[in-house]
Amino acid sequence: MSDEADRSEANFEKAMNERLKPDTPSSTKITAWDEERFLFGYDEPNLDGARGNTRIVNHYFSHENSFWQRQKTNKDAPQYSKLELPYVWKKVDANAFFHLRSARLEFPWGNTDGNIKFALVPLEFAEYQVVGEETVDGAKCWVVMSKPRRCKLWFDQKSGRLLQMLRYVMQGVESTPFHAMPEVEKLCGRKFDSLDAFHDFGKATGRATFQRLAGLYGSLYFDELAHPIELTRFSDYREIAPGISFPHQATDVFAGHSPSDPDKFRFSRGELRVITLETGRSLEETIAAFVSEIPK
Amino acid sequence: MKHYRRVSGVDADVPYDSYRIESEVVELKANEPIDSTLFEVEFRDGVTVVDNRFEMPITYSYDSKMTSEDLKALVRKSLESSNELDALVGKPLPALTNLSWINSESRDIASFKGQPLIVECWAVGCGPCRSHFATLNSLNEAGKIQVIGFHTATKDVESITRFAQDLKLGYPIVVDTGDDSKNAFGPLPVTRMPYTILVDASGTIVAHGDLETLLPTAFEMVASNKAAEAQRQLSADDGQNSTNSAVAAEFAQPLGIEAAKRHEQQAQEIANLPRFYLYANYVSDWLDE
Repeated sequence: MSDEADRSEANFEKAMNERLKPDTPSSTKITAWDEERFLFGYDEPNLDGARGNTRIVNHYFSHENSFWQRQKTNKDAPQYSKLELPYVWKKVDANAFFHLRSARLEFPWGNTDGNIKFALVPLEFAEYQVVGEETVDGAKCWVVMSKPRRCKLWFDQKSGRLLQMLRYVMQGVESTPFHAMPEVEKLCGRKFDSLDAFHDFGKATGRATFQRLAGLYGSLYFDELAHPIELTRFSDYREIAPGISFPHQATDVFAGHSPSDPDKFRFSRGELRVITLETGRSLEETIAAFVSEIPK
Repeated sequence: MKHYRRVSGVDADVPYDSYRIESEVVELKANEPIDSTLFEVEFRDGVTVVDNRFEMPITYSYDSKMTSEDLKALVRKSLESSNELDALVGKPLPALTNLSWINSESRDIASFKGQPLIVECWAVGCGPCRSHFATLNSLNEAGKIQVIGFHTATKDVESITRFAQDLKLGYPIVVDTGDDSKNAFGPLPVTRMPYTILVDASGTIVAHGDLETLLPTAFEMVASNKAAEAQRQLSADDGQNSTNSAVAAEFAQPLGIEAAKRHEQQAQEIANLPRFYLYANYVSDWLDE
């Protein structure tokens, strides 16, 4: 699929139906937690530029209220860095959460400050609207749009499962500045004479108001600024706990600017398949082994 | 004259009787002392009193010989009753057997399943109960929420029937037999009036309290009940049948939004799992290479 002139949904659909080359290298991803710890990371061969032969294993994990990065190549000993949780969240591979990214989640094993991988806007401000019915992988779906969350979701009418998610990115300049909008004044309970005054308010305001403002931005500017950026399709749902299903396959299409022509877009395709999914495994031994490597 | 208004959460136009009030000033004075008798309330023995002075409202038949200890005992009983009612939430509504029915043949409580049900505990002599009659009648006529009035054994069935006819109460009413010395409302440990028990479409008690407080929950139940019914019909024939497709189209908004909310809930349930271990293979590349 050559560079395309636009990020239309048709082009995403076209990319979704393309095939990867048979020799495309693969990597593995891990997303795990237990009662006291979390562990994220990847094991990626051929990651030193143009398909070299350096294998990089990169893990982020928690241990007794500390957060660490463990990085190892096939050439060097493991390197450890102590990190702050918000930084770890920036590094977390959101794809490895599959369909969970579409929801706003609280994880009991760590606070979510700095977590921008999941829906920022809480459900009560999502303003869901059914915008149509479409078929995905042969299943008739409700198409549900949330402008505040900048996403469109396809739910199987029979099973209720999420089969497809289209995320949008807001790009461009607002026709009327956000801080000057009457809806913002109403939500914040005051007028803003300047962008600086609004920024000062944003720094001091609570999390709930911030989330509502984020949702309001989507509502107000979606029609003029939203562009599709990532289409993900979920399949092979299996029950992982009583009454709880999880897709074991996700196919992801992403649109980025073309390196040769910034006005065009190129599409990537990723295929994520579960190898192991367990709900009883402890991370104690794995992380204890990591910790034992950390120089005192 | 009938006017119609849309009640929030219920997609039926509910008829309301309207009336006109005209007020005319007959006499108006300024700076005159107010007649102190206007502030004196004298109860007759036997009238029903809804007393809100305590931490728990109590309803009783007024007796001039009642002492403060008697009132405290009623408050204690009311508190105990609330706890007993809490214990009933999540359980099936008990059978209302051997009771007299007005506006209906004698019915098995199981026959009320399929739609949300409001059981309104009341009595003829209860003044505040009257403020609920119009709402209960409207709900009953709209047909989305079932209503049963549950009357104490303090009046005979004929008197209650006459009262219901005079006030045009159209919903089924059951009358307690008075056989249970503990409860005034059969198997329900309710000690004040008016009082509402909310039952879901499966016959399970979901909440209890004041009617106004419970109505939003009842309306939500109506919406999700409709969504579930449409979903059931869709599942029955894969949505190919045109009638069922029409049902689906009518309920597209609630069904789709319900699916989104369920998904969010299930995603949070996964996030709440104490242990989760996902190991996956990933293949990715640009499609223009």
